[in-house]
Amino acid sequence: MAAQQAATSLRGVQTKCLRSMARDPLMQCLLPRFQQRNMATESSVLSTSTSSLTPFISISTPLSHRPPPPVPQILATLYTFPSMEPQSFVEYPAAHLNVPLRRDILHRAVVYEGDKARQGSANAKWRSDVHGSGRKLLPQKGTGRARVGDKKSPIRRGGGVAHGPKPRDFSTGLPKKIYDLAWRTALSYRYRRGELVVIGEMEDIDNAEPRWIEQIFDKVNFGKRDGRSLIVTGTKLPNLYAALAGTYGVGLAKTGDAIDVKDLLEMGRIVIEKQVLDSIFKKHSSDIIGTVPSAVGI
Amino acid sequence: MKVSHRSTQLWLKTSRSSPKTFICHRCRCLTQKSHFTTTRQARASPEEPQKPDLTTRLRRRIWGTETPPGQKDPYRRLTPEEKAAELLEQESIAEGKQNASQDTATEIARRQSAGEYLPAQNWDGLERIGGATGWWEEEWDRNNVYRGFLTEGVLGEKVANIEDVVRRVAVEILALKQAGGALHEGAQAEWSEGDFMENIDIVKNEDGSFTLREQTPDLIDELVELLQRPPEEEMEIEELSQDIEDPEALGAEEQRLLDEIHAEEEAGEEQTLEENEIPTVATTKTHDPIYLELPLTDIAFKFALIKRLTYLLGTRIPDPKINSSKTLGDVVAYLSEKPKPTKLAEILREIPELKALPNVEIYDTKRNFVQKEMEIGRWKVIEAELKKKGLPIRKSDRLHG
Repeated sequence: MAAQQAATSLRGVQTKCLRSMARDPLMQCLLPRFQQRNMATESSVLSTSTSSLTPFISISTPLSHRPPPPVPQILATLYTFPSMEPQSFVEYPAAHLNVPLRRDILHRAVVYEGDKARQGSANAKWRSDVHGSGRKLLPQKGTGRARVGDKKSPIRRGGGVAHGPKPRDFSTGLPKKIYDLAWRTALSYRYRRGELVVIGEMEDIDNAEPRWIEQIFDKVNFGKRDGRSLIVTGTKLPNLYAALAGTYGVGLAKTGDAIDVKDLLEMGRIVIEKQVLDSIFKKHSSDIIGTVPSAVGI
Repeated sequence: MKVSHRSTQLWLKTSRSSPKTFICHRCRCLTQKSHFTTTRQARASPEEPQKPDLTTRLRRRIWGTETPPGQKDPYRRLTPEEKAAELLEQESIAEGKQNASQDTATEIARRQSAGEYLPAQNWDGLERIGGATGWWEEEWDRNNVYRGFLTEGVLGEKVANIEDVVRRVAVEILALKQAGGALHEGAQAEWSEGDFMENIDIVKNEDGSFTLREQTPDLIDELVELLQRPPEEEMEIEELSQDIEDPEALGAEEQRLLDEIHAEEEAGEEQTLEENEIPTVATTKTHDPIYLELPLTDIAFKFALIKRLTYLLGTRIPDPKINSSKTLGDVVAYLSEKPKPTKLAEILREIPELKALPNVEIYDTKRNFVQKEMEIGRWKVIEAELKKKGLPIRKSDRLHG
């Protein structure tokens, strides 16, 4: 009975977590303790609530009765585009933007995406596909030569290809949780290097001239001299997209549903709209939502 | 042997003693005096005055002078010495011509003042119209200059001491906090130095909080007023001054307004002049460095500080640095960091042990064969020798022949 009550109360906390992710410190998800001891060097605990220190908890208190552990928060600045005026700060949990760097996971994710993107349409004709008759060229016996079938044999010139490529699916599998971790690892890597710029609401530029966007990028240090930038918007903005398409080596504009982990790692910086960033975190958090707190250790 | 002009006979008139000798038509023509007037020999005869050849005449007509510049024989290859001599000659002609052009300039001025039409000898000074190149740079770029929040920092690259700027911004925000206004309101306010920089101190109280202390009375209120002045007032003043075109038609009140506008414009101009002339942002007075311990736990305070600094300096402060800065000292430390040099040569030049070595020189790029030979002084010899032999000197010579 007590165990059932504990289980139901745990589930209740988890559903509340799903609704409001790390906004209200009192209603935060119960993260496993080990995730707080991450290898990030600069994670600060900026508490928005009044109590910044956790009270002493005796070991005899059951897990379900303990207050949720404080989730470290990370500050990001919301800017306007393209004037780059700071509008406000916004907080994200450390599990989103301060995940430790795991190059192997990023590698697996990039390889997985590359495999998935393959067309796989290479095709070579086998002996049955080659155009020609099946007439036996020489009698089976009596010629003194090796036996010969039809002219489409792979041994013969003009014949089919033995074991040639055939259209196939090259996609590989990757556990969803690892892929989601890769997304957040890439974004955290960018954040820690100061290469993640979050825009409050993306506005279209005045005209679609490529030299206009080049001038803007030069002045706000987004352009060729500063390593190029990837602009990620929720919807396609006509002037911005047309202007960037007319440039070379300055930047790229893509919608949120058209990017992947490789794109996040390619350019010099990512300029992303806040709603797109939130949707990425919502979609790629399977490894941190719904985890049961560990009963072993504190 | 006497040859007859008129005879077309093949037989040569010889002396009586010798028999007649056969001479073919070709030999006869060659030995005959030429009747063609277009040959050089005919032209070179002393009877007629010597006319200059076609090339010279053409060149004179093209250049419009009796002494056109360039080689006498343009198809002849000059030796380096002859080339140098010709260059010198051309320079002296140019100098001579400059003097000549001054005379012509006075002549032109005289004729223009007299109202006489003078056709131009060349296109110098004439207005250029049309053409496909340069329109984007000259017209479009000039009329479309982007200005945003971050385009040009107000202080730009003139900052001598970043610590003073950060201290002054902290003073501004503390002043706004004391006055009870929104802290980030003064982000795009005017920057003026003097009293505000020197005579307001940040002091730490016994309970650990930080407050301002002013040396002259009402200085903090003045600062708050400056920060809270909306930029729209300046825009309205500009519009008003544009509307007032005929000052004579104004009434007394309008005249007073106009006087105010002029006074403010002059004051504004003086300020900008000062900013341009005296570029350093530094206080003469040294302040107690206790302000470096000012904590940035208040999010609103931190945001206002970052926004104002971004506006003044024109550079974005990265999010992880904002996140990890706990005190004002952390912000000063980050902003005071020199940017890492991008080239290895820059790093090597700063190592004193390398500088001390007498046989080591540091270059930005790898030295190639030609550059090494140039340093020794052997390259000109190699080049002259290759030219003499007619061999290609550079790779590009070989490719393009």
